[in-house]
Amino acid sequence: MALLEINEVTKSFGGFNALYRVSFAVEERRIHAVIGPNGAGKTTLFNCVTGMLDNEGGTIKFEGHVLNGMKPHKRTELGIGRTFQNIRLFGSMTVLENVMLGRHCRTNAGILKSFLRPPFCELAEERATREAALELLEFMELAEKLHLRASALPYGQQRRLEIARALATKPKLLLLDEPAAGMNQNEIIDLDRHIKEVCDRGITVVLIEHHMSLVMEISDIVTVLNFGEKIAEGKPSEIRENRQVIEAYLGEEE
Amino acid sequence: MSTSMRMLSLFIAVTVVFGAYYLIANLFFRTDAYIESILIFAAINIIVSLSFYLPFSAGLLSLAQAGFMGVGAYMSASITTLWKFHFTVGPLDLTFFIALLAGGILAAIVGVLTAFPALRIRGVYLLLMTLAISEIIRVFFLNFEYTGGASGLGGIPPLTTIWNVYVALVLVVLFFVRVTKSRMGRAFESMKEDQDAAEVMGVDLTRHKVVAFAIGAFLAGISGGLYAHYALYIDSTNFGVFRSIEILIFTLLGGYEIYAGPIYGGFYLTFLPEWLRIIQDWRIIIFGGLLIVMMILRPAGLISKEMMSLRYWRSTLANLWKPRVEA
Repeated sequence: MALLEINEVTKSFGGFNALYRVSFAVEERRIHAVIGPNGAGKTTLFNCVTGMLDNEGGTIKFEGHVLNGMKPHKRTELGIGRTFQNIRLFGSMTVLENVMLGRHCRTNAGILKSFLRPPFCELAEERATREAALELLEFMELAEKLHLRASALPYGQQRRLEIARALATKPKLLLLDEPAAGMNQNEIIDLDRHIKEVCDRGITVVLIEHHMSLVMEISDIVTVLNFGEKIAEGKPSEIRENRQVIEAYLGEEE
Repeated sequence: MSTSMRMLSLFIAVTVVFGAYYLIANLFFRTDAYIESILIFAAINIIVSLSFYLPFSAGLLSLAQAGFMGVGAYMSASITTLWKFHFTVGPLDLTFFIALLAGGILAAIVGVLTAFPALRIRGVYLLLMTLAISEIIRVFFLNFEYTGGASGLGGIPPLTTIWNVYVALVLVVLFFVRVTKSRMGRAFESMKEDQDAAEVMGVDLTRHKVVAFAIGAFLAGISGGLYAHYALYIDSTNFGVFRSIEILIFTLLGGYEIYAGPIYGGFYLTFLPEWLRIIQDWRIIIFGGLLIVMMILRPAGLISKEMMSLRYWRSTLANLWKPRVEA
């Protein structure tokens, strides 16, 4: 059984079909890329999977659970994490707090428990949260920036922080929405390595990306969307040769 | 850091030190009834400002705090005045404690009822809705004959003393100190920053909004109880829209990034009109002018979040007299 099954999913905005009967499956422990021109419905698809939007037709299944109508935070609890195309960090919170927030759904200390804890003692859960967050920041190479406001980070590091925050939710499936946007070549090489390391941790990655070199290099399978419909799916080498994909998106080689 | 920022920091440092000194000196060594009454009102205003700040820190702008305050005031005053309730454990008289708690809990229940319609509303619409709820509560008490209706509720026993007000205040502040840096505090802040992103990161918006409203209303109810047992007479006009706006101003001027803001604002804005009494009728104009100047120069309020660290004060005070260095 596939980890994520998207079956005939349709979503329209005022008569315009952002997604029309899109179906594909994401197998466990793969890096699955979703590509397509701007406006093809890639981000809408992510929004439907995470519950920020409700799909109108079709079903989305995650580990056999039907997600339709489920609240976003419940989906996060099931193990779906994501990053955003237009970075959506909590700017006034520190780098560390951003990642610690990601652990929210894996912890349960309420207000009273935090208020009534003994003086000068940290809750064991809070310490565990901090340690897990530190480990992830180490992993994403942000350990020196712990106490900076997230909004004070340079762009590339904000992107990495988003990944660290999403990883803190302990996802089984990580959706990355254009993680390489606006990055320079060196940063993309780092990102490439980070995504592979995430995959090595047993996390399945779905990736929306426009940098074809990155997509072709790391992904196991590629799905191509155009005007809300799936036009192709296959290994990177097959996609590169696909006539339809070349016409719609990749363009002819000069 | 700019020179004006350094001067502002110095101003805040001086006023905080002066305020703390003034408070302690009057708490322990003087019994001037006039100053004592301002100090008590200052503490009540701080508690109710913090009650506004709590839902605000989760991105929920509530102008219903005056209404919740009224619920707490009427409930606790009913217990001590209408029902003549007494409860003692050995030498301890817990009557007032229980009355306050009951007022807070009833206010929290009303707060939860408010939260449910508020779940689907954001921004300025939420503000209007909470304003309407505040008015509903006020008009309810205006017409509720059991608690005096339009003629108000008088003869409330003077149970509020400067000591129990400040004990309550210390507990409330301690609550904020501890909760801000906790799991729930982070969740509230993330909701204020970006509600949708917070939800995708696993924050249950419904639950957290209800909790924020309930605790905010609870604190407002406590402050209402303290108010009722100091003013000794309450009527519905005490808890109208104007009071809600006053609470909002305390927080806006003091700073809404961190709980220290409403504390600072609540304290000094209770004193300011008293100090401006010398110039009589003009004081409200000066007060209003100050607000306008503040909104232009420092829209996030006087106290900002970075001021909460010792490091900030060390570097600010160390560099106070250096010529302009842009860091």
